[in-house]
This record gives sequence, C-alpha cells and structure tokens, in this order.
Amino acid sequence: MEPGEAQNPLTQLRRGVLEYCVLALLAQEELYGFDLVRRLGESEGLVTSEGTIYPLLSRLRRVGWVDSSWRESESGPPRRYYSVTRAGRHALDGFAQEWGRFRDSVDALLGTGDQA
Amino acid sequence: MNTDADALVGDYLTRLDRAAGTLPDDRRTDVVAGIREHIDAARESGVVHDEASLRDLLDRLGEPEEIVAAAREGDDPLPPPPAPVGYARPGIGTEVAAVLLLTAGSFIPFVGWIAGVIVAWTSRRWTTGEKLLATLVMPFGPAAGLAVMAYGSLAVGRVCTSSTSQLADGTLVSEPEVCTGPPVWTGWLMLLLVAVWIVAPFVVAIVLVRRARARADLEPPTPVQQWTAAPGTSPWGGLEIASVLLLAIGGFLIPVVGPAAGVLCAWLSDRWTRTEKWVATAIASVSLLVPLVVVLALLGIRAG
Repeated sequence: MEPGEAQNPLTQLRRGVLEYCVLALLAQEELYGFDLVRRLGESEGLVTSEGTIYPLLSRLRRVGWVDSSWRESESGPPRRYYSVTRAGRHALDGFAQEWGRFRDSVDALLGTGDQA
Repeated sequence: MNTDADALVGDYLTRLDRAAGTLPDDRRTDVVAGIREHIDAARESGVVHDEASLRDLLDRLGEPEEIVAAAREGDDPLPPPPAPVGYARPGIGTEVAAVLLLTAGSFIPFVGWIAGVIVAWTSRRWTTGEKLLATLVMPFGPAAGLAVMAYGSLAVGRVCTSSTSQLADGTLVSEPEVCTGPPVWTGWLMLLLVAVWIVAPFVVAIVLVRRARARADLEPPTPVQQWTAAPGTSPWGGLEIASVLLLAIGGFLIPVVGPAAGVLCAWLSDRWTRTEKWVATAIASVSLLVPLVVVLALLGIRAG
C-alpha cells in the first residue's frame, strides 16, 4: 500500500464498490457521462476525483458489463449514453447480495448498525 | 471568458493526454474522449458559466495523473490478473552467438570462425583459460576438420602395385608388392584425430555455454514486464525449433556438422529436460555416425 492510501482507509474499499454504484445508477436509467458523474457526486464520500469515473466506465465497457451508444441531444452535439448489459445486471445482483452480508458483518463488529 | 476558458480546458486536456501516453492507445483515446465530453456537457448545460465554475469543475475531475492511475489499476473487475512483473534470467546471448559462430559458423570460410573468436573474447562470463580453450580446441572450427578429412581421404591413401616380369627363360616371376605412401595405421590415426577435431568443438561449446549459463544465473535478475509466456512454460522456443530442424534436415545440408549443431542447440535449451536432450543426442548420433562409419569403411577398404 502506498503511503497516501494509508491516510484514508476507505480509498481501497471505495475503489472496489464504486463500479457497482455506477452499475446500480445505470440499471435505473441510461445516463450520459456528465449526468452520471453528477448523480454519483450527490452521494457524499463516494467519489473523490470525478475524472476517475471515466477510466472506470471504459473498463466496464471492456468487460461487457456496460454498453454505450450515441444519442442526439436537444442542445449541442450528440451525447454518449451508458447502459447496463445483462452480464452487468447479473454482476450487480451478485454484488448486492454479498454486500448485504458484508455490511451487516462489519456493522455488527463495529457496532455501527441501526439501533433497533 | 471563452478564450480563457478554452485555454484552461485545452491545457487540462493536453496534460491528461500526455499523462495517458503510457496507456494502450484505445484506452488513452477512450479516457480522454470521456473527460472531453464531460467538460463540453458541463459548459453546455450552464453548470459552468464563468472561470471560477470551470476551475471548480476541473478541480473536481482531479489531477490528470490521478485519472490515468485509475485507468491503469485493477485492469479487470472480473478476475484480478496476475502481476505482470517477472524476473528475466540474465541472457547469455554473447556466449551462445560465440559458440554458434565457432562451430556452425565455421562453414562460412574464415570469416565465421574468426568472428566467433572475437565475440568469445568479449564475453564477461568466460575466464581467459576458457577463451583460450574455445580458440585453440578448434582452429578454424569443425569445417576445417571436415575439409582436412576430405582432403586426407583423397591424398593419404596408400598405393600398392604388384607386377610380374618375365624372365629370359620365359617363366613368370611375381615381384614383391610395392606400396607407396604412409603405413596403414597413420591413415587411421589421422582419421581419428580429424574426427576428434570435428566432435571436440561441439563438446567444448556445450561445456562453455553451460558454464556461462551457471555464472549468469548468479547475476542479479532484471525485473521485466512479462508479456510473453514465462520461460519453461512451452517446450518450444527458437533454440528448440532450430534444434529439431537441424536434427531432421541439417545432415542433408551440412553432413555431420548439421546434426551436431542440432545437438548443441538441444543442450543449450533451458526448456527441455535432460532426458529430452539425450533423446535429441541419440537421434543425432545415428545421423552423425552413419556417414562417419561409411567414410571410415570406404577408407579402410582402400587402405586394406
């Protein structure tokens, strides 16, 4: 681990989770890059450098979890819209299940879960 | 503000493109295009309306180096690929080139063998004694040995004549047989020496390359990007293919020396097991010995 990463223990975790957050947003509706980044930015602490979403999108397309297509926009040049593929949806479902268990376990250990 | 904004954006994209120079081309264009579209969309939508808001947008995008680092890490979200960094064994190209020139190269008259001597003396992995051995064990290489053998088989033969003469009374008398040329045993000795001259260079070559290999392995390995298969995973490298070709057809091209070079290549290989090398040697020795036996037999008949 590099020294910079040690400062924020969530850096590594965020990296692994972010691509599923992207998949989850795109599973709700197709979005173009700027819009997607803006939505992610609305959730606090999820994205530190917005520019890193683009390499992530590029990677998701390469592995076939995300597709993109050009659409005309009402104003200005055409935009590239991103959507989730079947494989992407499958990966997202798998992650959602794992994540539930993972979150519960961490919460139980840290005592950070909902106080029922 | 448009020109100022364009300059800011242009500067940012130039920095990004430069930082992305280390990425594969398709990824580089993909990432840069994505960021460009992002900035364009922000300006169109009115989110960016002055220099301050543009600077804010670029700040939020992050440093170009950071974006490129993200493009490089975790290449696949599916299976994490094995670390691409491996360690290469230090190569012994100089030594291999030297022995190939000294043996097979000797068939390029004079030039090949002399080049081999020069290359051998540049080696860092051989001692002076070993360099002397490489030079002196085979003056002008196996090609010279073969040439001497060919010459010898023509010139060294004994010539025996027997004649009869008729005496005055009409009886025929056989005169003792007269032979010229060296005695029979010198012919055989010569053949033996020359055969050694042809075989010894290859034996010495194998020994010297193995010593160079052993010494090279003691040197610190060099870390490299391993884009090709690690050595040892496939039994077929350049040396192995060369070996099989030489064993199969080398004998037709250059008798004796072709298969011998094949054996040399086999023993230089670090992909084949010892058993496989011995199999190659056995195959070669058949194709190597048969013509030798034939030549010896023919000479024996002539001499006897």
